[in-house]
Amino acid sequence: MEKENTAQDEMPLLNVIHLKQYFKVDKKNIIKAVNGITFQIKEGETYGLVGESGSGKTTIGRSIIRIYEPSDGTVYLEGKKISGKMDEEKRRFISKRIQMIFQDPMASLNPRKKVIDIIAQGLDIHEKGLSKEERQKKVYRIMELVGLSKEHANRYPHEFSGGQRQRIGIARAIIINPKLIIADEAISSLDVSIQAQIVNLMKNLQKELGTTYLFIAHDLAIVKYISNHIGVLHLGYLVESGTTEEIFRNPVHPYTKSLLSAIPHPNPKIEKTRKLLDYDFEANQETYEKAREYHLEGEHYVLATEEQFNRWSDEHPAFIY
Amino acid sequence: MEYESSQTIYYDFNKEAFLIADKTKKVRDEKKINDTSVFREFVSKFTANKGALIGFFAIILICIFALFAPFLTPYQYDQIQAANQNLSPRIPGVESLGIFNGKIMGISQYEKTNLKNTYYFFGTDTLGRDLFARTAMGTRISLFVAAVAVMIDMFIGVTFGLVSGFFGGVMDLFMQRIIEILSGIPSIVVVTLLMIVFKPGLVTIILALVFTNWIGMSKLVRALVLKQKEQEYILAAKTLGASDFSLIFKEILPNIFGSVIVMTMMSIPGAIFMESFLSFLGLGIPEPMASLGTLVSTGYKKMMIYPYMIAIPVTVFVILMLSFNLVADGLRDALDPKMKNV
Repeated sequence: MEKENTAQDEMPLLNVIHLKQYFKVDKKNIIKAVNGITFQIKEGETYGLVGESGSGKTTIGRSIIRIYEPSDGTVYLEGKKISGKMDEEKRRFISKRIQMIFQDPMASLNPRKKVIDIIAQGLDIHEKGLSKEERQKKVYRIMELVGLSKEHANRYPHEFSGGQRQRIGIARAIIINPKLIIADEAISSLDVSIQAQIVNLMKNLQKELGTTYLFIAHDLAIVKYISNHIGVLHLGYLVESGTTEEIFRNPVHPYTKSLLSAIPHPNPKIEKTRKLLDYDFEANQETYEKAREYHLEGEHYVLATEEQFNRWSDEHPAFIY
Repeated sequence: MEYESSQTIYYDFNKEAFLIADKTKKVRDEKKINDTSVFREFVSKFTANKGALIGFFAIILICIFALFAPFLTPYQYDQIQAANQNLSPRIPGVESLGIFNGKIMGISQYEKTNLKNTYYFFGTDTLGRDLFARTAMGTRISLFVAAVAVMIDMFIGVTFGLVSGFFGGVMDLFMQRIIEILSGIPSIVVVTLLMIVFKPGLVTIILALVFTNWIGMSKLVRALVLKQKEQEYILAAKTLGASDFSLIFKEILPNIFGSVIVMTMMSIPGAIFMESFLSFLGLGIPEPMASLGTLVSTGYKKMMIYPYMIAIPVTVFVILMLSFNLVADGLRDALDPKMKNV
């Protein structure tokens, strides 16, 4: 693999190599949700995973945290292998270091539990000997950190608005101080003004706690705002990946281009002239299997067959290689 | 919003359409949505339902009657007094109103048998036993059966359903086949078979309930668990490393508890009815013990001559059944509005 050869100064926090996730529908049909994805996340950074519905974004997150059993591939966290056979020790290792923020802030909070108990759940599992006062103190501190007030502690989830509920979800995830947080479409079900609040909250938390994010979303504008690296996912293949700057300055894969063209521009005059680029994925679907990753610049990779690669480099003036 | 200077665009707008924001006021964008606690909401919903409230108090009255009635009469429920047989109800004070005066067809049995100062509140049966004490005893049996039914539902039914639904797979398959076999056998057949081994009595009835009564509950619980299992909050608890035990009892159970209570209340009248029905057929509580079913059964033989003998236990029985049904309906509406059509 080309990617592995590039020397890395530091060990990445999360190293996903050739992750495959297939689902058996029945005896004959297998859904290939994720087809050999390779990417790394460095500590303290945010990796944005974008793609359309059904591209396998959520599946990747869930395979890493072992809600699903990966069909193939290896995942390393802090240099320790977390894929493969599961045992009690590994489960504890994973659940203490990786946490998840879910898409639907209502469904992801137990409606019969008080907020304090929801947030303290991680403590109850991983730090058992905690006294009641210590537990309460820790929960209050986290609640303050995510912008909830103490008085909210004894209420139930249905008493909160969507944004507040998502804050509770974030508080629950960060209370055990995980290394990696998988934000699975964490803001998609919120309205735009609340989205900004939550994204800013996540950014601030990252500054304060040094958490690493795997940010799964379909909204490129927000991914651009929060991520250091972006991976563009299509039909279970990572079609293009690189730093945010590289992807936005110099998108190569037509799918990435088409995604970028869908971002509305705030200026109405430019917005009027914005052209949506179509991407005929049916024509390209088969080429994914034959394609390999090409290195473009820095950390910029694109998935292409040789023929495609040559064609794109011809029609692309900014294409150096 | 600020644009780069080369792109600055100006718009015409009506200045009066805008107000200068008062920056001294803090704008709270997220407000409290709902302040009522779950329990208070439940109480207010339940008390708003008149029928449920009436049923609730009727059950309490019947419980008080079952507990204390035997102390209000000098007679024991199994005390046979051949001289005092077939006396109709006579209650002091009320008798002057023309009811419960111990008269049948205008003739007072009490005067006939020279018992002027004797009062049997609900009359006596053909053996001269006090029906007041016997009805109270019968009600006790019925309430006891209700309690047993609740226990069976709660322990066997809920546990079976939780395990079957939560773990799924081969275990679920196996457990569901057991249920199918059990539910294929009518409970009357189960009781008759049990009669071969045990004597008729409370133990046999309870065993029959143990075999059959929890099946509906376990099916309901399994369905509810299957639904809850897919919820994201279970996933969230799993990613936090919660054990299966805490997933089942701390996450899922509180969420299905409303439906479980409703279902339990719904199953009580059925259990009481089953006991009475078996007793009526002579498969239940043996003499001299009384249950509402045996009282109806013996009273039924003299129905044309002494209608009170059947009317009184039937009335108590009807009130009991109706009350439990009303309370169950009220609970369902208050706890679990989605189940309204079940």
